[in-house]
Amino acid sequence: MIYRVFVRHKKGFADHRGAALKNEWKAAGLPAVKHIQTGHAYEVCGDLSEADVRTLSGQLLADPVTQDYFVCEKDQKKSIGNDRDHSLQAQVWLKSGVSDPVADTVRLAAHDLDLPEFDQARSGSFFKFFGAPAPKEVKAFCENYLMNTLIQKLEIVG
Amino acid sequence: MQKSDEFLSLSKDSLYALSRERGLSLSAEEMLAIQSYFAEQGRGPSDAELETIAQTWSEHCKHKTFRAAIEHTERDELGLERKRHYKDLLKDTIVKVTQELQKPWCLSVFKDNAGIVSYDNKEALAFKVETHNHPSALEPYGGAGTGLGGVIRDVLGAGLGARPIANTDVFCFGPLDEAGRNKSMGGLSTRRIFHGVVSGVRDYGNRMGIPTVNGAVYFDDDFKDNPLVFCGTLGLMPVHTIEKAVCPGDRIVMTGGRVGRDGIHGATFSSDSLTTGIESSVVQIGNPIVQKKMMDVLLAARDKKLYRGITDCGAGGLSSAVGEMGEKTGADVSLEKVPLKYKGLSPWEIWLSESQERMVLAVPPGNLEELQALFSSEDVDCTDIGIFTDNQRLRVSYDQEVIVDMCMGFLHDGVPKQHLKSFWSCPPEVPFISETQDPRPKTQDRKRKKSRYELERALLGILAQPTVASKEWIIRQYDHEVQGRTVLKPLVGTQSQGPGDAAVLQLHPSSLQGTALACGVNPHFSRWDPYWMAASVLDEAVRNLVAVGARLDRIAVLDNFCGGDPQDPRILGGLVRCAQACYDVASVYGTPFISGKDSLYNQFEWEANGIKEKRSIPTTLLISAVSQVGDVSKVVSMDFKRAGNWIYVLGETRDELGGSRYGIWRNTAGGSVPRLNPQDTWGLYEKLAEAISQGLVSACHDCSEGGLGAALAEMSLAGELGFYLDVRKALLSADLRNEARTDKVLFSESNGRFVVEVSPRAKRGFLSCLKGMPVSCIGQVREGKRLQITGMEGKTYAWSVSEVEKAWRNGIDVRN
Repeated sequence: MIYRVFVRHKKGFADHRGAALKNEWKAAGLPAVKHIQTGHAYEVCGDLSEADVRTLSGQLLADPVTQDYFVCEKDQKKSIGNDRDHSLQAQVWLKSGVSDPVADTVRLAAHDLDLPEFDQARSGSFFKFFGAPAPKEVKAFCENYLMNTLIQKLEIVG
Repeated sequence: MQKSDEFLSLSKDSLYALSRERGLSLSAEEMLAIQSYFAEQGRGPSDAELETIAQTWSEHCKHKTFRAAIEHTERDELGLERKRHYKDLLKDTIVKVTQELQKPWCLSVFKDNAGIVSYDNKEALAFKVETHNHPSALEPYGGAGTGLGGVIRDVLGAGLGARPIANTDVFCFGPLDEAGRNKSMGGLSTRRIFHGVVSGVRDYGNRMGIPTVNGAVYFDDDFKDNPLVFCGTLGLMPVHTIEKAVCPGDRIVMTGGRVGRDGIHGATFSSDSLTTGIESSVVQIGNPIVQKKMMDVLLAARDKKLYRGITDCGAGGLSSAVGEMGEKTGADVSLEKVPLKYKGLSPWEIWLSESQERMVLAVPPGNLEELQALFSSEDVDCTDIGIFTDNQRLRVSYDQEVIVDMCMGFLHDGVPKQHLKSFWSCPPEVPFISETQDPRPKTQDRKRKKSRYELERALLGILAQPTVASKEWIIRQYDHEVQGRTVLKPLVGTQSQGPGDAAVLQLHPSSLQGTALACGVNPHFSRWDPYWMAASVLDEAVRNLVAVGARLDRIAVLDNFCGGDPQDPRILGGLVRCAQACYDVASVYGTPFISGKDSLYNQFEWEANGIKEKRSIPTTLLISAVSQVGDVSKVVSMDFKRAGNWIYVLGETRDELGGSRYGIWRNTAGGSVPRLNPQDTWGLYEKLAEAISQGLVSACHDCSEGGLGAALAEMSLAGELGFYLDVRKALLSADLRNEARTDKVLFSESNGRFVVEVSPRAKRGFLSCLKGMPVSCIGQVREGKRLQITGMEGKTYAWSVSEVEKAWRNGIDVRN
């Protein structure tokens, strides 16, 4: 089973990167967005239950004081948070074959957390654009400012 | 073995086409040499053999241009041509001066992964600076991080291994202005490259617990497609560990990280132009934690004498590392034993992968068990992958299938020597623009500031140029204190905000002896003349050491050349002039070169409307310098210390505005580039070093980019003190004095100059020490925060420290 975990700041904790990106979006001359939320994304794979993944997320991937997390199966391709908030979520993942030291560390830590069935991980980032931007604008912005297309791939979830 | 007998019948053109198609970066002549060797063997080469030769013969590994025979032609201002023949450019210049100087404290030069010099009777210093330009252009974070990781491993692989104690970093980027937000032709925007490179070096150095203590950052339009990333590491090692050996029967042991597809073709890719359509497999991403663990256990193994040979697995991966170590013996490798990150790698990929954080050891068989137990205890991979033999052959197999079987002699010495032609034509002298000429576009901003003197605006404008401006945003991201050795830090002054000339480290708390690190780089001068660029940067590196009080008799330097396509005679001509300047200046200064590296083909190629275009960087030379400090308690920083102290300028100021920061501010390409008379300057440096060692100097700062004006402003803002001075009192060349232009005096970038602060009590001793030298007292440090200068025409120019500091601090727009 392959799961995706999305980790973001809890409400009340400032997302400085998101604020900076909103300025960048404006400087790029794109139509206004309400705000941009940023966070970390992980893809975990193995003979794991959703409860295992929640254990991993709560104890390792997210800081319980400042962050919360959202878990879904990879194929669900769900957007983190409210589905009706007129947002687009861009997920940036390392391409296969590119070294991923963060994922290596997650794998080691998962075994330390007594999850021996944990097989592989992949790390990435997510960016949620509020204010109904057009997918092509989000794609262009991500490719110009948020990712290196040589080693990363982009998924846009509406 | 997969054989390609068809290879033997290919024509020269077809061979070259094959080289291009496979990304081997080998010339037609080199392919012919390979064909000839395999014809003698009676078979064609396997894929792995071809790839192994391509890696070993790459420009990156073999430095074919600098080893080439060169017919050099120079045309002077009068159109007269002179010819000079170099049998081997490197041996006839850089290596030659080191051999001629015969410094007994140079313990290992040009033969190991790093240059090694003596520190005291018990310890030695290993120093290496590497470039990682192409990878950083494509993936700045990974490229810069692994660049630093690689040079750290070079030092770990020098002798039997040195403990890294300091890092240096020097970057050349395109401009960070609004245009820097746009994607360059190379793919990423300058801002992305800038942020990525700084983060990559920060994360690798900090996580390995090595302080980054010295460096420089240079911004110029020329580097927007091809940034330059230089990373250096200084290591400390016991003197008895500087020699290494490989004996037949020793086990070949790979330690550290596992092997994936990272960096396949890295060495050959780095030996070619950047272009579009690069594969992600050439990109390497580092893991400093893995390297930190490996470093710690490796040094423990060294102290237990568990291995007798070591090298890093860098460009070319195992093929280069094992090939180099077994050059005199032979090696037999079983690739199926190599631990992999994931399944599915073909044997040649395992052999050539440049997966990071790996070292290869030569281990006496009797020590293998103890070595593996030691590595296992620290959870670091350590795998026996083969044996060094005595048959001078490189034999590589995978599950009994032999994929490489070739003679070491051919692999290492079979590359045909290049015979190249170079050309240099002295550009016509264009005078520097007059005070009233102004080629700059008119802007609202300039109209608004009409109330101030042009010269006052010029100083603020120069201080705000990113190349001159404060690099605090970068420096603060680096840990420059970890390990607790840093005495003189990159930022000095009352609030630690001034730019230090050189870093000083105290290596052991029980001794006041130390070491100093500095650098010099100024590629813009190359547009005028690469010879004077090289002379200037060597002088700047040495000056920086002199300014802090380092010993002049123990200065060792490293060269890092970068340039475009050396097949272009004009580009090669620039490199030749650089190398010749290194010889000429180092001979007089007595500064041996202990190590170096070149990175060529720094050009970007693209196609527009069916026409092939290319843009290359100017010939660039980074000189990194290391020396000893007799007593770290006597080192001098650059910030003004006390009101009432006298300000001296040492050295003569000449009409040398060509390539200056002022010239850039005035948007002119005229003027003469700064020259150097090393015989004159060396005498001054010796006297100044003596004065500093006697405690007669309160502050000292070298004059480089921005000239006297920038140096004085930096000393003032670092010490939070003002000054008054009269530039008419400075020692000026006759033509400059006759012309009486304050702007030229303040912003000329003549070499061999310092601004020195001397207390009234020390004045007599200082003047006595500097007797006969070009020294002039031009003013005084003052209480209050006002910078006041009387110009050549008698006018008074003034600035507040706060406005100077504001311009200087805000010069680099660090927004993402």
